[in-house]
Amino acid sequence: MSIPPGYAGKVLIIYLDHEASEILPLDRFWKTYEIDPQKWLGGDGVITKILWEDYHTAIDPLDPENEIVIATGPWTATAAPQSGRAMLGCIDPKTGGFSSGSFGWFFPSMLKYAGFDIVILKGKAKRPIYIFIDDQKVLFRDASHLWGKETSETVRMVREELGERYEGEIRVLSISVAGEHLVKYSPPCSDGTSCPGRSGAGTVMGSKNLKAVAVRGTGEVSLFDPHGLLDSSYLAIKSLIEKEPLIKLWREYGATTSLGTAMDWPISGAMLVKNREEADFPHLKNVGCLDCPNPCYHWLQIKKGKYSGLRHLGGHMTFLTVCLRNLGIQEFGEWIYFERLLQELGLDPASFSMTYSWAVDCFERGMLTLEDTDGMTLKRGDAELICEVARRVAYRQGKLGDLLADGVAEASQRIGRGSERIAPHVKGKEYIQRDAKVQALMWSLGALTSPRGGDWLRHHNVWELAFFPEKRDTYLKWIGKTCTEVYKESLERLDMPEGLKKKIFGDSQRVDLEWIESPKGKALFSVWTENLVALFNSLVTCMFGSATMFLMVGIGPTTYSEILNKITGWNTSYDELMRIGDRIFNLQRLFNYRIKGWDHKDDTFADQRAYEPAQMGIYKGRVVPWNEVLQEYYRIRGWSKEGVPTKAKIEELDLGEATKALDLPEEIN
Amino acid sequence: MAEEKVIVFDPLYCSGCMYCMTACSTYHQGSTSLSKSRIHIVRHEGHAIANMMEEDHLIFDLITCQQCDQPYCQYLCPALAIEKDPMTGALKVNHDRCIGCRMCMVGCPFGAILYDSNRKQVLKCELCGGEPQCVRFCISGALKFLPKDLSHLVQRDRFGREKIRHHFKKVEGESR
Amino acid sequence: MGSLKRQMQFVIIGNGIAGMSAAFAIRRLQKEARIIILSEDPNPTYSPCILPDYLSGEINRTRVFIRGFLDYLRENIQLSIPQKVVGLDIENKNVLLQNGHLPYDRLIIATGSKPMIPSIPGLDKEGVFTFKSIGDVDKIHTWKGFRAVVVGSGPIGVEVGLALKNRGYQVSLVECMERILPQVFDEYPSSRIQEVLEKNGIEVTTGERIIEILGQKRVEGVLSNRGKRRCDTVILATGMRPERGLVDKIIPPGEWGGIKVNHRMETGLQDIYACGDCVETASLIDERPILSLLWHNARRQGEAAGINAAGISKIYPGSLPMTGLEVFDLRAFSIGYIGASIDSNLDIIEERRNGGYRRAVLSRGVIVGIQSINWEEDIGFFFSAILRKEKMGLKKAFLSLRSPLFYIPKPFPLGRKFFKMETARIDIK
Repeated sequence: MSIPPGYAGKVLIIYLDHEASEILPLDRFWKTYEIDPQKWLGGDGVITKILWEDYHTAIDPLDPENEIVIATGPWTATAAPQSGRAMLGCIDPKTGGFSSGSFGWFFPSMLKYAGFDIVILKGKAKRPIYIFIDDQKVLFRDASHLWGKETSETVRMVREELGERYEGEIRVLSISVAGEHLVKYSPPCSDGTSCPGRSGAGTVMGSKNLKAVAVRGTGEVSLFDPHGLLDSSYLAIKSLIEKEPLIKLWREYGATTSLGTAMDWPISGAMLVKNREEADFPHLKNVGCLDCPNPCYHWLQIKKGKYSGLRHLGGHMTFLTVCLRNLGIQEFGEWIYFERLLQELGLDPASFSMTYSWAVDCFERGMLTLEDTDGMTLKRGDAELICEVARRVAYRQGKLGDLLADGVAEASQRIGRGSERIAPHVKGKEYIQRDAKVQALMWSLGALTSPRGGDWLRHHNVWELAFFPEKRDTYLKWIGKTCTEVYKESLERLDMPEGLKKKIFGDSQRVDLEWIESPKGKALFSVWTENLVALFNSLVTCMFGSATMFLMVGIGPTTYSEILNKITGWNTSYDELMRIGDRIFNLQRLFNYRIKGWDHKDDTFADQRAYEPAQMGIYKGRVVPWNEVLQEYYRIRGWSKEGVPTKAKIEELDLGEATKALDLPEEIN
Repeated sequence: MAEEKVIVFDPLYCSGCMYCMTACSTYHQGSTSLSKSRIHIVRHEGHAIANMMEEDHLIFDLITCQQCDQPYCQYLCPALAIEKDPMTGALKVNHDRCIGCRMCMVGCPFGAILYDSNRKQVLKCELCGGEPQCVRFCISGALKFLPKDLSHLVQRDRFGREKIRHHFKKVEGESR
Repeated sequence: MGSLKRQMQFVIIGNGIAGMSAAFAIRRLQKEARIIILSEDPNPTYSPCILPDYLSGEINRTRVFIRGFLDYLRENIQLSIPQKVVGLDIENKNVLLQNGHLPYDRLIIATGSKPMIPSIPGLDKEGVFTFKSIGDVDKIHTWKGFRAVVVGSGPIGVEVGLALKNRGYQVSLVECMERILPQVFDEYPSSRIQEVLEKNGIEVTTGERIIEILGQKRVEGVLSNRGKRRCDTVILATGMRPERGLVDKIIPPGEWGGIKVNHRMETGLQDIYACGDCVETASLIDERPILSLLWHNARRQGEAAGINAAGISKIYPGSLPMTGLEVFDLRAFSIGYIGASIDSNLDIIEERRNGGYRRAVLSRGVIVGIQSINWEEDIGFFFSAILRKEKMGLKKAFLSLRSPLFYIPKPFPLGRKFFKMETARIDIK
């Protein structure tokens, strides 16, 4: 097998025990792991396959046996739109199951320019070290002086030590104090900017005594049809910029724009835009990763209040959602400070916020006492208190810090007293609490079925949220269109075969806002979205700009196949690509089933409030029939009643060889 | 002779996506790379983020050939390999002649010429025969391809915007 | 009317880069004029700067030529080669040829330079070469030798040494001064280059003066103040001097022995201009008269001479010494004056960065020269600073003068005000 264009062509395996490294040609590596690039692409697909081959039973995630896989894809570092992304995977320190996360900024592209598609970190170093990948050279350097330094300080010191000649020449993926103290939800951070947030890989890196990975790449990525690629990319970008109704707002205000659509912000866009005047660099454009037509990092400078003068590049959705909804932080400056602090400490905002939020709930119900909280009265809305708790958690300091550092699932197990019944997690991983209140069916379903526990990013279908009855006249005024118009346009441009569209939406010619409020077709739409997410995570490209963002009309599988063919010279089609997504999602499910035994019984919310009558949305006043929804979902997926992929499904996806050893059900639900 | 045009850059519009660089190397090299791009975006975002208390300043800057009227690269070339394209006014490297001595790099006051160690020759911006790919892919509109005698407008525009920002801080949200 | 008007006749003596640039510059301005180039060399214009590459075999012979006969034909420039000019008759505006004479309206002298040959015995032996024209290189190409002594270590000496090394010769570089490249680099950079040369097997001796070339018919060795040295090839690279034989009697020589011209390349005699290696012009840096003997100066001089001869005033800004060398994995550049050539108020600023080195030469606080080793990415900024005659009394100004690409702002404090983790933590009760 020869290496197709679009791949850098080398795999780097690092043995931290001996501080040794091995460089393998990509095709030989593929052969060893039985990876056919046309079936797995790269990124998430390759990570899934590597973890599948390497782990047959459950392991302790913090054991040296755990490995970290950084995988780029054929899309990465080419001239295709949004090519600055890669995936980082490991065994999740919280759930013990599959975990991976997408991250960007310029580390992934530098890695590929250095000549590596995949980097695997194995074992545990005897002393704190960091790794420098200088094109094809690999250096191991002492990091004891970096130990205990927070994210951007680490980045700066590493770059300085390695003799960076100009800014941006060396890119650093580093962990912070939270990772060192083995806080269970710590992500690594690329250049202090972009994190594979929900992967928990920072904790694994900490357990391996690995402070940072730095990379300098000066090489190039070959292409099959460079000029064709440029033309296709240009068309894709142009149609995204011109047709997507929200993109103008997005390019102006960054990722927080989608608060108006994805989150049920009370008066959506309006307030956000107003608030931004207090903290903003109005004369600078948003900044993004490599080749990004719709950058999401917003320049922020706080002009008023306690933190006035603080500068930050970010303003991301997750932070702002949790701040507002779960932590009750109202002031914009405090949001930004909180975002920056969590980034400096290396804490996953969703997990930390949900853990804190849970602790407040417990405290209010008397499940946690002043003794447990080191004398602090836990409450929402107090930014200073929350930041203090975040610091304690990152350092595992005091009783409360140590308790919350393990995350909701373990902490609730530890204190008991009924706190398990209000712990917001699925399979051990926190999800944002709003989901349990069930205003959007698909969104919550995504948290149940995600391969990495309670997580919305493997689904991220904003369709329902965007047209929610409560919001039909809010954010839309910012784009100057009516709800019906946007719905009609979006439906027309949705990159989906007509047959499938009909199955999901009924008669697609008719504007049917009723669809939003009925459960009909939603399981099918969810499956399609999950496959799509698995697909672009293996390419690897970005969610912001893909079809799961922006009312599902971003860059869709048709464009993916068109551009991918230009990069690699293959002849893939829409169906083939969606099948790849399906295959990857199924193997992730099987992987978790094999090592953790996760099936239908685990597809549940630990928080029992999810099984109470919903307060808003489709099932307002009723209990969501989770079991029925799941069974429909399993049926569409071709899984058994127990939520396990059937033999027929496995064979359909060419997974036969891989799953021989497993005893899989025959019968589809 | 067609009207001579140049690439001009407005740093305030730049989003640092470096699409210009990847598009450039893809178009000319046939493979994507940042190091072989004839146009280079300089980044100082780390500085801007980290120096939190400092007055904001420009984060991005551009290094590319300005297609000088008195090109030192051309004077210095011992092989007469740099020639002016009569159609676009771009200074082009004749790769049949270039011997890779790098004298042109030394003479360039902008540092816009780079050395290709594979070919042992120099590379420079040649305006893609009149349709620069970097400008085509600059979604944020920071790069513009303007006639030489209009190129000052970008600076004026920027200067004007900065003035406005300075004087009317209150309405800066709208002033863009 | 136009057809009746007699066209101007421009005569250019010399077909180097200066003469050629002058001819093409005239043609750009005057489409009808007659332009005649006279040259002794039977070849069309070639670049002597790339002769070492041809000698080493990196490029083939055709690439040395930068203009072919067709180019002249296309521009309607009459190329009369080989044609020896024996004298000038300035009274009657005639160029005297071996058989006849050629009238001119404007005359441009671009006779170039010739190698300086030391007066030592044994120069007539087979295996002694100079290095100036393509003919010299052709001769070396056909010569079969194994051990070469290169006399003189200017840029030409070093480049010839490298080229011969590439051809498989065993090369000794002999310099009579106390360091190699004495005109181009100061002590430290010079010693760095010497180190690299020696490391790669080129023997370098300084302070050695060749007294005699030994041998019967062929070269068998050289005798120097240090003793005998066996070799079969001797390359004389002891420098160049302006070729001004044609006007020796008419125009008095300048300080350095070149034809003195003003900024318009006028010699002072009516309708006679001079350009290229044979002239002596004001320096771009401080207006002192210098010989440039460098390609880019000759090229701009030629253009200026041509434009002025065509009747349009054009100022030649002055000559600037500038040398680039690639010695194995080391790249060295020198622009402007070196420290040794500045007599008063000399300041040196040195900077080192992993393996790279550069040295700025300042005179009265103004930057007049820069030398760099393995650090050329942003040397163009210094080049333009020299052109601007930038005052750089302070080191700070020097350090700030670099490409925005390599401008790393001061180490950032990272907002310690906000994120002093250790101290900000509240003590636990």
